[in-house]
Amino acid sequence: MALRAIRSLWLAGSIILLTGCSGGHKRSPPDAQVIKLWVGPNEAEESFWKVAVAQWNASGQGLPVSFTTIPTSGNSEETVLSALVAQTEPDVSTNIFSGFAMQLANLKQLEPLSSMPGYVDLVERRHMTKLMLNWQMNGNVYAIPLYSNPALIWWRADVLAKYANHQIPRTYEDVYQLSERYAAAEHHYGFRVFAGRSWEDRWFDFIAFYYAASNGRAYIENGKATYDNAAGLKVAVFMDRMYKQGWTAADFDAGDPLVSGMTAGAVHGPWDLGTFQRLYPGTMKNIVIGPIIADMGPEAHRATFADSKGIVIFRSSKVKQEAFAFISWVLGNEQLNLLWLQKTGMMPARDDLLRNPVFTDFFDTHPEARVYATYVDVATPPALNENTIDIQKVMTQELVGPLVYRTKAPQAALDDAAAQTDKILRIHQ
Amino acid sequence: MRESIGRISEVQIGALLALSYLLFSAVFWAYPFIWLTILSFSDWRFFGAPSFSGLHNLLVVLRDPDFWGGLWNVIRFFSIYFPIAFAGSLGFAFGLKHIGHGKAFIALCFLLANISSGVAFSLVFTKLFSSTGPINNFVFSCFGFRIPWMSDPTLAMLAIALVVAWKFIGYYGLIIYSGLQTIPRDLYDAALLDNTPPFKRLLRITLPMINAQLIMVMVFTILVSFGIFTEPYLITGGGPLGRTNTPLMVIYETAFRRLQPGHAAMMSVIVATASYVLIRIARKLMERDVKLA
Amino acid sequence: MMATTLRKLVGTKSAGSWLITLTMYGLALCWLYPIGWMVMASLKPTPDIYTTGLFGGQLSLGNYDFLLSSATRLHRPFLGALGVSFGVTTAVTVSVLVTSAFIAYALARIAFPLRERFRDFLLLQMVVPTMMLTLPMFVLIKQLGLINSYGALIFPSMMSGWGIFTLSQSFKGLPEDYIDAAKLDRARLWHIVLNIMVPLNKSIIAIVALFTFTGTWDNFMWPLIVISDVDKMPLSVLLATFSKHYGDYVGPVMAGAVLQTLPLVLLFVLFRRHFLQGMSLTLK
Repeated sequence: MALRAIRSLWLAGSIILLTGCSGGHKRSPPDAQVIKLWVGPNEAEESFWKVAVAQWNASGQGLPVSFTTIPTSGNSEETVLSALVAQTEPDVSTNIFSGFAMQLANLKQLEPLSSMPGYVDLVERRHMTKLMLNWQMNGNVYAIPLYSNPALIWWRADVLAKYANHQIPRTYEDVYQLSERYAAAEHHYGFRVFAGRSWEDRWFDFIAFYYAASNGRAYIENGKATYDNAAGLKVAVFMDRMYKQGWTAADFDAGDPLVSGMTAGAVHGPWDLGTFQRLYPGTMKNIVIGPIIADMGPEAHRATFADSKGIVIFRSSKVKQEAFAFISWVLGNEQLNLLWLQKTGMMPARDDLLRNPVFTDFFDTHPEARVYATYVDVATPPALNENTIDIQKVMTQELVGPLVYRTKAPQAALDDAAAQTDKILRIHQ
Repeated sequence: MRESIGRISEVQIGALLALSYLLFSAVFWAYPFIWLTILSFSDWRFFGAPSFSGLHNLLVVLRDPDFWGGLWNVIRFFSIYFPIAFAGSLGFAFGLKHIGHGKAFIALCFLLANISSGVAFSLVFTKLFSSTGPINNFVFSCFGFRIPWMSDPTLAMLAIALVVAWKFIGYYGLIIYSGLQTIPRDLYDAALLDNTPPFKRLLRITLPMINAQLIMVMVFTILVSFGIFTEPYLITGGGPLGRTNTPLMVIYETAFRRLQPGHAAMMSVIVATASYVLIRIARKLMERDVKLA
Repeated sequence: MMATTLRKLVGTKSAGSWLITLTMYGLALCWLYPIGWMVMASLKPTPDIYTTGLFGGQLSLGNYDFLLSSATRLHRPFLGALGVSFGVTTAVTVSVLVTSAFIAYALARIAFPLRERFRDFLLLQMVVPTMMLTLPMFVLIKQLGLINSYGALIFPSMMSGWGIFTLSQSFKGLPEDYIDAAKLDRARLWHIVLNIMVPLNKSIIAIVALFTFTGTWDNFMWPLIVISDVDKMPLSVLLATFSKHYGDYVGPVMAGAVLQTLPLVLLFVLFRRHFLQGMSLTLK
């Protein structure tokens, strides 16, 4: 009875409102003569796009492109969502990670790029076939990755020389031994386990270790958490042991621990190469880079986490084909890929970085970058699920946090986290 | 007395003025209310048209652990904030009464905190409370340890409560002070004649006489507990581990990050109702009709 | 003269009373500490902030320089945001004051039909928690096509029920004679309001103006929701998001905080007498 009353109120109200809905938006007539592009809000990327767009516009191959950085004050995903809600979005945007692309795709705001003419050719030309498997959503691809940055571990070579016989730690046991010796001798920590309190920091601790331990297996499959498996347990036990023995700390807020020597190792992405070179050149000389630790043979090519963002075309765009032509051109142009590498230090998302002669010079002169390039083929992006933030918040609150603060045992933490994740995924179907 | 301006009478002008406000309210108050109702019972994601979904949103919200976490955090916040704010403002009011000169100066110092920018001071206090900040430096030099404000859930809540208390104690205190001013002297004189001890004077005379003001402060603290957003958002961001996530933050995230305005609308309704009910209960329990015999 | 005053002060108080007095003054200074720290920190280079005492260290305007130049470097136009804040807040405050004054006069002194219902409606509005209207208000603004525009910040706040109610309570208290005298002189309505009611109720108007100004200037959640374009953001949001990403730049963040607080403090200090008087009036 009450429900019926509510329903009639709802009906009456919506009729009134829907007449306002459609007439509501005041969008200026789209400028069909230009492709509007949004790029990542940082100087390095902006400087790349300046060159790339200028080249495209000068060549006159297609519609001219005009770009700006995403007008965000911090959270570019929120800005993109706001623009979509306000219907002021551009035609094309970069800086979209896989989970966000999934959310946008579910909201039917993206154009499936896999059905665009020239897609197959682009993927082949750019040697991306294997990488694209991680970006398939419901049989389509809505975002093409621009770059794929593996997460690897930086070690202090001088500490390794003293306490690990110059050997880069590769297994949990190696880290335990190094930590024990380093902690005992100099009251320091072996390794920075906990990457930070924020949800995105899970990419650089639990998720990276999990990918290494499980050979790149997804941690969310078919809407359920799968990381409470053997691989997840190995990682949880490792984290638990490190904190139990006091070989790592809960926060390293006061200054970078590799620079000060507080830890012997920490997880870093390739973008830090440039930063450290600029800010801490002395420390940089002492850094060696190793894979993510896992219980595997020393020669095994461990999977790792890929910080990877891509480019999308919005469904509302009036110049989809022309936009894709531009994207094809930029992504497929090897000289521009090299320029990207030079300007941002980030690995272009292609399999052939080490085989391709265009990049040889660069990697010859940047040996640390070469290590990163080696892992691009096994670097896995975050799980394809639109509830990325919720999933990783649960990881923080139920799994990693309790392990760091020693309030749960590894198996219990995993079980709790998986159960909670399943609950949330079920609710937000 | 009717005064005419042209052919419009004063009464008509008055009615028109009131009408203008009613029109404004219709657009910016009543219409959003209608939307609130619609959203609460619809499935919508900002794109396309809303579709009726009955009580689905209610079920989803009631099963959402973040939502319950937010409500639980209100209780935690209130249990820390209320004693501090209440005791502090009472202390301030009584202290102010004792001061001969400089009442205005002291009141202004406290009010400055109230009138200043909550945004700015959330940032300032974050720096003040940081592990290398002045407060921790002081504690460290005196006692040899540092207080982990941001990584312990209870301490983080305490930090936020302290910031909000800093902001409001002056304001609440002045409310109580103005109540104290209205208590007639004869009551105290009579009590003194009866040799009533000071504590009994407080309990039997002072507190009942300022009952209205005490209720006002209590209502304000309840409203604050349910409604804070700026301070937790800026100081702790809802952490650590979601233990300072307030209902308003959950609503904000649900609407604008998860893009589920329907769920968020239902949450708003539940939270507003809870706050209203709590205030009614508090008033029922505490309100006394104080009459001078 | 000095000696007698001093003797009077000292002589009339007991030890306990002195303790209370000292405590109150001490607390008052404690309350000012965060403000003082904020100002001093904004004048020191970031590395010095935590390592020097409150008034120590080298003072300079370097942090403010950084803020102003971050307009081009980091796409964060602080000066522009300051302008937006000023424009929006002034518009809202003026609008609220003008509309509230006139409507309050009507409510207080004109016997228009359903006047009591109108007053009841105002009271009802003040009881209903407005936070639950934030989301539907967003939807309304979206329908009006005003998302990411200054209108979204100004229009919803142009009138204030609280302002009307508060002013009308004060207007009611004014003796009839003033108005009767004006009416005898065949005064127009707006003349009565502006030249009689307003000057005689300065304190309460100062309160309404101050609270409206502060509320709008420091409004955070609403502009956060409704404005996503960096160029249109008020200072409160720009500062907050700057701090989220550049929180390590403590100096410039504090400089921004000073900018955000300064106008409020200035207004407060300028109108402190009115404010204090008004406070004891509204607290009846």
